[in-house]
Amino acid sequence: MTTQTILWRGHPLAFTLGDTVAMALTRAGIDQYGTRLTGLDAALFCGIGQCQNCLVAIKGQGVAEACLTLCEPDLAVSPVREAPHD
Amino acid sequence: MTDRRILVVGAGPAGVRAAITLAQAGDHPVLVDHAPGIGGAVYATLRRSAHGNVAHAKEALRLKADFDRLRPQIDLRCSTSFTGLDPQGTALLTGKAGLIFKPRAVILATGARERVRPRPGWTLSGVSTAGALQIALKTAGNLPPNRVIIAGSGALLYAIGAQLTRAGRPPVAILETGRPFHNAFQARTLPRVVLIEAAGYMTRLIAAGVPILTGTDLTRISREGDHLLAQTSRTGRWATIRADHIALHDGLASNDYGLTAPPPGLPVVRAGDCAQILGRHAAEDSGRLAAQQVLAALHDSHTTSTLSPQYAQAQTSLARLFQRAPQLPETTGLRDLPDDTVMCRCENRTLGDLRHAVLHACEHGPATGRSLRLGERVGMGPCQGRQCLDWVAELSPHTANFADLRGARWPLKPVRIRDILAATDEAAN
Repeated sequence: MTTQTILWRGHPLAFTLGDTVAMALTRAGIDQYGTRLTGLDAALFCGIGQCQNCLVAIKGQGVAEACLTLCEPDLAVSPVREAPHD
Repeated sequence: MTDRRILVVGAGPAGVRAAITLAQAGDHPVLVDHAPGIGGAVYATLRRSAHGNVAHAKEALRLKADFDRLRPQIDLRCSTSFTGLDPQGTALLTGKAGLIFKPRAVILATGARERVRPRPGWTLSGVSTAGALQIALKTAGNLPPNRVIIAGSGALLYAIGAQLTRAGRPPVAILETGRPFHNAFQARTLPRVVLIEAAGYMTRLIAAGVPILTGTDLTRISREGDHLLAQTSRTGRWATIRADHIALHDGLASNDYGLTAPPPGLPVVRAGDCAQILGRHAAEDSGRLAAQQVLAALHDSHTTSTLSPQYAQAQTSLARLFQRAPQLPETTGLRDLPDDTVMCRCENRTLGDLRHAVLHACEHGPATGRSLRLGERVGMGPCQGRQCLDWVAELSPHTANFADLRGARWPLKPVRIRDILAATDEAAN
């Protein structure tokens, strides 16, 4: 079985089918998703799409919650403030 | 449109059971959830990629089996958000299976949201709600980093602690602000099923030697190198515990934030924790009842069924069990928090900012929700106040003035215009 990966800041991260982006990041030991516009950490907080604390940029889709977005092969994900404009 | 379907919002136990009940009655409901599959938070295990040793497996799998039988009759739309109901009764669903349509009736089964009290350092990465940790554990089998502290109050702390222990990662401490062991006699009124569950959790925690510190507040979180420091206070005695992850939980509230009043003539019924926090056992019963109520309303008949009072009694007993001893100071109250505590996570507004604003506004008349929104931006960020407004409302003695802080809103959450454009529009003439 080949390992499927998403791209975080251009680096491949393995995911299991059904993983959200937050799960793949957590499994890789990444708990900080860059900084928010306020300078506070962007990170998983509520896990249910309420707090918007885990917003990330997804290439071709825009900004989305890492805790709700499903991983797809080669999905390019980056911190919101590092994302090139689509 | 002649095909006017019933909309069920939320695919946790209440919403799924409601959809099943509607389908059994011959209806073809639309069931929407922003998560990638059914189960909600409590049965998130149903979204797990590799099934294994799972929590509440029996109930979760039974719900799924019932759902699967009626699946052809239910229009399930996952990874899709209920974004609002406009004054004409048009529902907006956005996301993977976006849809704009006029439902015949609506069942709101949006579950609960966690209440987390602000504490200095609660915005650091590595600090999450206890529920977020539990969902990660249930759906991905993801273990958090080595040393986990679970802090706050309520039955969920022990459930998660026990689940972590079972997964081979016992928490380094559970910090409980209440004194459940002092109030243990309250437990005698709990239903058998709850007691058995609780006994299982406690046995596991005690066997693993997990320290359970009651009457203890987590007063400050800071980062030191690559780990977190939790400062705790127990009747005036201070201690510091090292951790890699801190999970916070200070209770549950109905997840009904920003819902607008339904337009006249459209039956809207709430089910499960969205109606009242009664837990997973009540949720399915409540979902079934909500479906029966909706069907009765649509057919001009009545249903006399009601939810068993046992569920509410169990919640009252639980609340008493976790009550803080009256002799303990309310150190988790806002009064004792330092000015640098972030209140609004979205806009980085501190308790000091808000104290100043309330004081300043009081010179010109009482602070209002509107003045705090416009001046301090609380409730104006992406979460729209879901994390802070409960606590901001505690700040001023004029709490009544804060009714306009929460408000009803459409859309319910930030939504991309492209998602609205991409939604199939069945409401257009």
